[in-house]
Amino acid sequence: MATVTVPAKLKKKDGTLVLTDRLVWTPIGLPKPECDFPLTAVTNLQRHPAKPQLKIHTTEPFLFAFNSVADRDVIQEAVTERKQQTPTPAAAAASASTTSSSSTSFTRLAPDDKELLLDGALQQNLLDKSPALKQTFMEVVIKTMGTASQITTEAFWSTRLSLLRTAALESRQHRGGYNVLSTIKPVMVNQELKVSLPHEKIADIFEQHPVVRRVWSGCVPPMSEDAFWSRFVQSRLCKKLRGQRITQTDPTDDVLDKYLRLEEDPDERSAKRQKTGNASNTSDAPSVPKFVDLGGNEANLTVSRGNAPDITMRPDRMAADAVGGIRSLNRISMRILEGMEPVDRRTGADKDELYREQIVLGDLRGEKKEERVLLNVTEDEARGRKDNDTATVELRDSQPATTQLVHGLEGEMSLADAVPDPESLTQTFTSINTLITSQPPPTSTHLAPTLPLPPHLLSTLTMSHAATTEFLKHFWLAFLRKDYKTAGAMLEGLRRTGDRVDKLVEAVGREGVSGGEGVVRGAMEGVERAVGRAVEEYERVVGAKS
Amino acid sequence: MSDDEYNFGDSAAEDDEDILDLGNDSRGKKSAAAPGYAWEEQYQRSWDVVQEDAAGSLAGVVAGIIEAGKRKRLLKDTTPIQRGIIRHLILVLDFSSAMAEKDLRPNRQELTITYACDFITEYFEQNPISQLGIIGMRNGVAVRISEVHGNPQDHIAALQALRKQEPSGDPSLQNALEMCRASLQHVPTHGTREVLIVFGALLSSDPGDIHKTIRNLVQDKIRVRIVGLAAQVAVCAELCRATNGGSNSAYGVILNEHHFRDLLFEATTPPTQTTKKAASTLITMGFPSRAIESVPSLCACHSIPLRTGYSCPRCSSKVCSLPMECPTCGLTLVLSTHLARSYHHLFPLRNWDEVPWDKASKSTSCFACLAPFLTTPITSGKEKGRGSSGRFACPQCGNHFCVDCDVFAHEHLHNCPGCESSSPARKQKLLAAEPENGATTNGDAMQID
Repeated sequence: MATVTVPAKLKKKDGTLVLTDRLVWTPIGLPKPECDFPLTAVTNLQRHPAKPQLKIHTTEPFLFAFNSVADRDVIQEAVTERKQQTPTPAAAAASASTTSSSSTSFTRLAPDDKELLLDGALQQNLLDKSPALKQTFMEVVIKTMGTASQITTEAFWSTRLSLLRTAALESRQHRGGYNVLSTIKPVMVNQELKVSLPHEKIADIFEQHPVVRRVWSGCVPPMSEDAFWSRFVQSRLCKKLRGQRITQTDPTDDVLDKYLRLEEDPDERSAKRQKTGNASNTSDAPSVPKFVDLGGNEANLTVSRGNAPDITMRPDRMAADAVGGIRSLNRISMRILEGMEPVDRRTGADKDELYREQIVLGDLRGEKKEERVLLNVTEDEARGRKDNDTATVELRDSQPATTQLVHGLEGEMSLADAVPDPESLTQTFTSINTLITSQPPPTSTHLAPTLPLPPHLLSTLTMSHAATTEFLKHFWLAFLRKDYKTAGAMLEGLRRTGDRVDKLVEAVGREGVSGGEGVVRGAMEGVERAVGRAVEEYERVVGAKS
Repeated sequence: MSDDEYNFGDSAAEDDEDILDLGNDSRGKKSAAAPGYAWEEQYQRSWDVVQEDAAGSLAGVVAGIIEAGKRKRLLKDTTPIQRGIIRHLILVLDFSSAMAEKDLRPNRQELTITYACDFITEYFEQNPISQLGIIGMRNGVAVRISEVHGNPQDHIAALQALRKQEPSGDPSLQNALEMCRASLQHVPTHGTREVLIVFGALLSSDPGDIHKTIRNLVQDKIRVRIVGLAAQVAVCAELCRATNGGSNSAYGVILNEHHFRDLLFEATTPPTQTTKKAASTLITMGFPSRAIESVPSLCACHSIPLRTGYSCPRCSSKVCSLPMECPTCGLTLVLSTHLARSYHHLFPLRNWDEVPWDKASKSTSCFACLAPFLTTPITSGKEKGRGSSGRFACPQCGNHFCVDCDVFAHEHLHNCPGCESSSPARKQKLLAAEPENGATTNGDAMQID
C-alpha cells in the first residue's frame, strides 16, 4: 500500500502527516515524530463540518488541521480503507492466494466445523430430508429445552458433523467452464427432434453468448419460448456460434438470420483492434493506443514483401466459412478462461524453486527408491512363538503316549461302557437340547427382522430407543472428558427413559397386543443394561470423589 | 492360429535381423541358442508354442501354459515392512460420458461397477478394521454414493443401484478430490488416508486450479492411486507422483480386463508407511464376546431387533456386528480374528525357492498334498514348465511342495504347512542333517504298529 504524505498542523504547529500502516506526524524541521501510533489503535474519526480538520481518536484525541478539504478527505479515506483491511490478521497475510476474498472461493469449499454448526439452513435441510433424524431431534433437543438434562442443538449436531459436511460440500461445489452449445444435441424421438434445455443451460448460454440474450429479448415477446429455442437450435446463427461452417444447404430463418449480420460485428471490432495492435483480443477490454507497439513489432512478418500471411492471420478478411468458425471458437475459449480463477502465483521465495523444477529433466531422473520402515522381527517372533517353547517339547514327548492310546483302542468296545449311569445320560441330553433350541434360527441378512407390534407403537418404541441412545452418547462424551456435571445432567434424562418405557408398555397393554409387554421389555433390554452400566460407572467415580 | 489377424507376422518373420524380439517380457525364456542382441533373434510367434501332441489334443500344452502362469503372480517382495493397517480409503469412480465406451464388455461403467463390488468384498476381507467411502464424478461435479463406514453390504447395495444410470458429462478431478479431503479430514493420525480413482476420461473439467488442490492433498498426507482406463493423462501422473512422494507406481493404465482387475486389487494390500513415527501411539480397542438372548432386543447402532449381539466392554451397549465403532462411547470394537487377518500383510510368508534337479531326489511327493513328483526331467524341449523339477522348497523347513500348494499357501493360507508342523528342535535336526544325509525327510507318516 502506498504511503500518503500530507502537510498538517497539530496544536498550531506545522508538520507532515505520513500514513503507512502507522500514522506518524512529524513537526517541520524536527527529526523526531511527535505522535506515532498504529492504525489499529484508531477508534474513531471525526471530521469538522466547516473547517478542513480531522479529529482522530485513539487513547487520546488528536486534532489535525489541513490546508485544504481535499487533503483532509484523502487522509480520512486512506485511514478508513486501511482500517477495514487490517482486521484480518495473520491468516490473510500468510496465504498468498488472492482467492480467499472472492465469493466463489474454492478454499472455503471444505467448511470447518464452526461454520457447519452455525449454519441453520443446512441443518434444517438435513432434518427435512430424513424424518427419523427429525424425530430424534424433536425428542432430544426440543423436548429437553429448558430442563437440566438439556442437549443443545450444537451438541446434537457436533456428533453428526460428517453428515453436515457432506451436505454442505455437495451444495457448494460448482462445475468448471464448458462450451455450452456443443452439449446441446437434439435427439430424434418419434420422428421429432427434441432438445432438453434446463434453466441452468439457458443461463449458461446467455452468459457465454450475449448475442443470444439480445436476440431473445428482441424475439420472445412476439414468439413463444419453445418456438424460439426450437428455431434457434436449428438455425444458422447457432451453427455460427458453435464455430461450425455455414453451408448453403442450411435452413434459413428470416427472424434469426438478421442477427447473423449482428454477430459479425464483434468480429469486426476485434479485427480493428488487431490492426491497431492491441494485445488483449477480448471484445470487452478497452483498446489502448500505443506509441510504439513492441509486441506488434515482434510478431510482424513483413506483409509488403514475400508471402501474404495465412488466411487465418489476415485481420481484414471477414467472417466467412472456416475463419469465422475459428474466431468464434477462440472467443468461446477466451470467455471460459476469463471466468476461471487465476492460477495461483507463488511468492517470490519460491520462484527459484519454480524455475529449477521447470528446467530439470525429471524423466531422466530414474525411479525414486521408496522409503520403507523395516520391522525387526525374527521368524519365530512373527509366528508368536517364544524361545524355549515348552509346549512343543511336550509335543515331542507325547509320541509314546499317543501310541499307547492307540493300542488301547484296539479290540471290541461297547458303547454302554462310555456312560456310567442313565441319569447323567438324560441330563446331558436335556442340556444339549436346550442349547440347540436356544440358538436363534439362522436368518438371512437381507430380511430385516421386525417385532410383532402395530406400526405406530413400533415407531414410538424405535424413537424412544434412539433418544435413549442419544442421551447415552452425550453422557459418555461428557464422562470420558471428565465433565461430570454434564454427565450427571444426562443421567437425569436417562432416568426418564424408564418412565417412557413404562408408558409404552401401558399403551401396548391397552391396545391388546398379545405378549406385547414382553416384546417391549425385551427390545429395550439391551439399552437398559447400558443405562444401568452408565449409572454404575458414574456413581463409582462421583462417589469415590466425594 | 488364424493368420488373418497376424498378417504382418508371416512376412516379417523372414527377415529376422530387423525384427525386435517382442516376446521377451511376456513369453518367458529367451532362446538360449542364439547369442548376441535381442533383435537378431527370430521373432517369437505365440501361436507356434501351441502344438498338438500325438493324439491331436491340446490339453497337455494348455496345462503346461497354465502351470507356467501360476507362479508368476507370487514373486513379490516379502520383507516385513511397517504398513498402515487401519485404512480409510475413498473410492472415486468416473461416471462421465467416456465411460459409455464399449471397449470393455459390456461397457466401461458396467465392468467398473462389477469390479468395484469385488474390490469392496476383497478390501474388507483383507483389511477388516478399515473403512471405505465411495464418490462418483458426473456432470462436472462430485456425487456422494456412500458414506465412509465399515459395512460392505451397504456399499455394494449403493453401487448396484447405480447400474441403471447412464454416464454423462465430464469428470472433475478437483471437485472429487476436495470432497475426499473433507471426508478424510477427521481421520486420526494412526489411520491411513487414501484415495483410489478409476479414471476413464482423458480430461478433467475443473472450476479452479488443480495444482492448489494437489498441494493441499500433500499437506493433508492423503495418498492417491489412479487406475486409468484409456491412456496416460499428465495431470493424473503428477497427482500420483506428488502425493506418493515421487514414486511412479501409484498410477497404472490398463491393458485389458484382467490387468484392470489386477491393478484395482493391488490397492487391497495395505500401503507401506514411509515415515517413521516418533513414538508409537497406543490405540484403545474393545474385544466383545457374543451373547445370545431369548427375546430379541434392539441394537444400539441400527435399532434392529436381534437375539444375538456383542456388548461393548466399556458401556455395555449392544451392537449387531463387528467390526464396529460403539455408537454410545466411541470405542473401536473388533474380534481378534479381524486383527489376525491383517497380520499376514505385516509378516508375509517367504517365497519358496524352486528346487533344481540335482537336489530333487530328496522327495518323491509333495509334503502337503502327497501329489507325486516327476522323478526324471522330460527332455522333449518344446513343452514349457516341464524343464523345472516341479518342486518348491521352503527356506525355513526345507520341505518340498508342488506348485498348487505353493499358490494355495501364498495366496490363501499364508502359512507354510512344513514350518507349522515341525517343532524348533526338529527343525534344527533337519538343517543339521541336510548335508550328509540324502534320505527322504518328506512325507513321513506317523508310525503305528
